[in-house]
Amino acid sequence: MKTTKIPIGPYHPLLEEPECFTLYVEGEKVIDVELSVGWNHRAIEKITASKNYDQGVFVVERICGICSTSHPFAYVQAAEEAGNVKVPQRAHFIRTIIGELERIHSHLLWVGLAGHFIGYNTVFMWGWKWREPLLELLEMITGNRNHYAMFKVGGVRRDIDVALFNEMNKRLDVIWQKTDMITKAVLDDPVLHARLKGIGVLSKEDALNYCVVGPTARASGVFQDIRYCHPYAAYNQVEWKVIVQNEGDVFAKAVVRLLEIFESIKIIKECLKKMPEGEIDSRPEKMEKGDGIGVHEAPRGEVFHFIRSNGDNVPERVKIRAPSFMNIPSFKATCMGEYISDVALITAAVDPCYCCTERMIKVIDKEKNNGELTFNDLIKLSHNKTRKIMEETGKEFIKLENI
Amino acid sequence: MNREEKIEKYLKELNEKYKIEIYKKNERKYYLTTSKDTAPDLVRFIFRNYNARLSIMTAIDTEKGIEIIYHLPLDCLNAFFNVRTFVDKKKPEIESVGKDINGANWIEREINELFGVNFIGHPNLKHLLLREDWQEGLYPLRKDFDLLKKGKI
Repeated sequence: MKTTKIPIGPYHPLLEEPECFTLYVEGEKVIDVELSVGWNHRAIEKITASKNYDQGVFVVERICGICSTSHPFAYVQAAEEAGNVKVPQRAHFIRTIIGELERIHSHLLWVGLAGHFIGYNTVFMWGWKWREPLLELLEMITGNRNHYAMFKVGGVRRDIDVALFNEMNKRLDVIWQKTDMITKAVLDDPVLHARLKGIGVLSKEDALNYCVVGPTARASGVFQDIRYCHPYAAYNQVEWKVIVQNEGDVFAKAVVRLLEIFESIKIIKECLKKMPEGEIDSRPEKMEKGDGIGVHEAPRGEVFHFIRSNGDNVPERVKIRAPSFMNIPSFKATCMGEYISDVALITAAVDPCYCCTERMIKVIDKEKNNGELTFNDLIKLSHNKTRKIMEETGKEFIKLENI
Repeated sequence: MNREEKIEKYLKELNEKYKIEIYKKNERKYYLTTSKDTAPDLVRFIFRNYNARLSIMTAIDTEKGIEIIYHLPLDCLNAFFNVRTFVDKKKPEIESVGKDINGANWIEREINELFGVNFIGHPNLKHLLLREDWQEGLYPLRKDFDLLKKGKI
């Protein structure tokens, strides 16, 4: 059978970052996937290594807009380990609260997008509607809806006022209730079962070999959560459980994310109860020499930062690894043998938004001229077809130049 | 066997099997320095036998050569084993682990283009982040990289 090549991306109205997937298809079946990234390389590792530690937090916060607290979270931990900086207990609790609030908003955003991709727009409306009070809550606490700028090496920048605790609890109750409704509606829907189950299965062996992280790994039966396995901040002082599913398909990934929202709400509520009084910032004045590793479980998986400090106020080397760097290569395992129409869903399940693929299709005629068909080629083909139809039906073909 | 004993046992086993130098940064981070010939074997051994994951690799341009660190978290033991090795800057070559561990595939491509380290046996060592017609021999994360002499960006 003829193999056709379909590039998706790199620039696409729905994508938050430019990436390009080239699908090799035979008929409707995908037989190979080629991935390419780096369309918008910003050299943040290099930039961060020329800024001091306070500016560095600001820079890494701009890596991603949706999980804008994950990178600073990992960065400050790496810097604190490298420079041997102590952090007050209250700051640990505030960090945990911000991290979890962000996880809820990110998962709700994903649920909405996933619903939109499969044409279930009610879920999209629900998910984004109930994400809104959460963003307002973040604005009340941090002053910003996104890019919270709460973290600094040695602590946090702002305290959470006791007067806000009541409001937070009230809003979280509402979100719990609404998420419960969405979860029940999604998990009990027979249409969604038929659409999502058994699609894009990532086996446990593949998950381990591709070293995938976060919900993608947990949906494939890998018990791996950085908050649990390598506890940091206040995660070992509160009660919660790791959600693991064994199926590895798109449905399992949705279940993991939806159930994690409840765990996050539990963590925040317990943090609010247990939060100790005291300082929020240790005001470090000197960085020691050494290496530091900081990890944080972002909504999409483990964020990894490595910092080498040479005792200066500028780090010598900063290595940043976002979770999608490990998750995206696993498309090679999940997309193989699936139908084209499912690929959008499978790639979206990992949580880099991917859909509306049809709008960016470039058609390549491999057998004839081995080149890409441009817009003009397609118009020519269309003209030829019209001419053929006209001739067959006996009507006169109107040339474009004569109009 | 509790956590500390297990880590102790693993480190002892590694020390007998390979020639390594162990540095304990704190309770959770261990740095194992070894030569570049044994490092890939050591990484594969830890990955397969100790239920480890390959988080990422870091490359740093130092005076002693290009330092490569493999970060291997042991998720059930709350520990990080970091295998550290140096490759010569004049002829930077090391055996690839990406051919056995799919998770190392992309990062080896990245280190190859940013530092110029040649990973021997890598299945597909082409550019990952930089464009394909990037000037040969220009490695942006090396210390001697001159912004004014950079290639096409």
